[in-house]
Amino acid sequence: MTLKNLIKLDFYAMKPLAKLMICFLVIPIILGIIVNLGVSIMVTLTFVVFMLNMIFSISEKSHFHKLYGVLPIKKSTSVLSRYLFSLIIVALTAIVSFILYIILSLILNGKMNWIHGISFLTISIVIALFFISIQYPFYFKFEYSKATIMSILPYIICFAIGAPLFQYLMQNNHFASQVMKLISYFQSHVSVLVILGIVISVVMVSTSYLLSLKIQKKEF
Amino acid sequence: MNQNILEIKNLTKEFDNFKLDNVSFHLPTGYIMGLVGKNGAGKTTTIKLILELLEKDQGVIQVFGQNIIQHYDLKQDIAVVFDEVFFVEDWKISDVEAAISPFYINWDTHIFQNYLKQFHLPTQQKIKALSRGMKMKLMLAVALSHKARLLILDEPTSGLDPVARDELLDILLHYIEDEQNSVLFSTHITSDLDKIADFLTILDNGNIFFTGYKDELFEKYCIVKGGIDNLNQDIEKYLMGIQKNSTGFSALLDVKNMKYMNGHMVIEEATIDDILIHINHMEGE
Repeated sequence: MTLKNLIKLDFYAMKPLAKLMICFLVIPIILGIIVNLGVSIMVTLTFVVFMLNMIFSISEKSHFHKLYGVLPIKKSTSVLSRYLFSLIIVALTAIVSFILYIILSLILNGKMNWIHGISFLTISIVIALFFISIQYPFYFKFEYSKATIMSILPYIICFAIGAPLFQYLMQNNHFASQVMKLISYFQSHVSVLVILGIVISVVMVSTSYLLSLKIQKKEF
Repeated sequence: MNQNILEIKNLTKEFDNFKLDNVSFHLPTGYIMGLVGKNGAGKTTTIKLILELLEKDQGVIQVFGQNIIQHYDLKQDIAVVFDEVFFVEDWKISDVEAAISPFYINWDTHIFQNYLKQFHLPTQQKIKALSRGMKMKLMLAVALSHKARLLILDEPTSGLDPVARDELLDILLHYIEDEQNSVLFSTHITSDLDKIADFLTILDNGNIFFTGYKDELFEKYCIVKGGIDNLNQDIEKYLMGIQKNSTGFSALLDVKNMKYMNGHMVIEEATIDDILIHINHMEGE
């Protein structure tokens, strides 16, 4: 019951932002029509994850650390509830964006490419959960403004080093052909991609949760 | 039934620049205890430790005779009012009840609605539109709506006008009427405590200076005043927190040492403020 109530509390906390979040969903729809329907799923989920970070700002501004001390709850439950709240939002957004994908596919192309859709949905969910897993321990450790800056650092490092490195490696014909082989393998074995996505997501989120829990025990 | 609703023994918490040192006191059921001390004396730290907002280094905190760390459900019977609201500013008052009430088994909507009416708080008003006094009343309405047996208040009256403060004090007196409820009231507006507190705990730089019945404090200490020329080493050793100025001195005196004062000095009853001021002067001695 406590866990359910804490998740509900997060929903209430985000309630004032709900209209804004729904309005912003128009952007990925437009992107989907103009650029790529798969990209629209990815953009929607990534956008929602970054909006989700606002819950930490709202909690901080509203002195929720005091509220958690007042309420009859176990210390650690507030961390678990925050992760579960985020996973519920990601799941709901994934469902909505996939429904939009189906509708737009039928309207624009007259048919539905399931393999393309499920592949993009899986990758988008993994990316969204990757963002959550990286960012949340920072938000549990530091105040919002500091955590926002620090949680972006891994991505900057990733893109500054990872992107040029990947580009460099792709110049190597052997590496490039292996990458293409891997992509075509996953295209023909979507179920493997989905299972791999689930395994990676579970490992990332669990590790992040345990880290946040450890941080919270010291900071609470 | 346990006679003490709250019992604190040897509570210690050390920070880089402050130490709450071996704090012990108890609050019997059915009474109001004032927790006083200057800013930074350790009042809020003590309350945070009771609520587990901070982790203690040493000591025992028992609420209703049980260790609060092992029984977080005890908080069903604890209500807290802090000096700032812990609700989302964009919430309406109706949202507060919807978000908070599910946590409490004994939440009573009728009591909450009655308090809203009594405090003239409109349910559709957003929290950010409320004045400081109204926010405090909302916190109090929430705190009193789940039939808690221990009410903890951390500086609730700072920033409130005298009328609002008086209303609050009336509510607290009504709250303890059934002799089952108790209040721990941290404040530096000591006139509030003169009116309603049965017990006092005075904190001085993380240490207990006094804990017990309020009347015992006034029976134990008095204020002595006189000219500077009345002071000498023999007398000064009995005085605490001597405050000197061009016209004379004043100091805190243990009543048992009154016999050592001479006839040129004036002895007066001490107020809580007097005691706090002179405790502050003791630091340099």
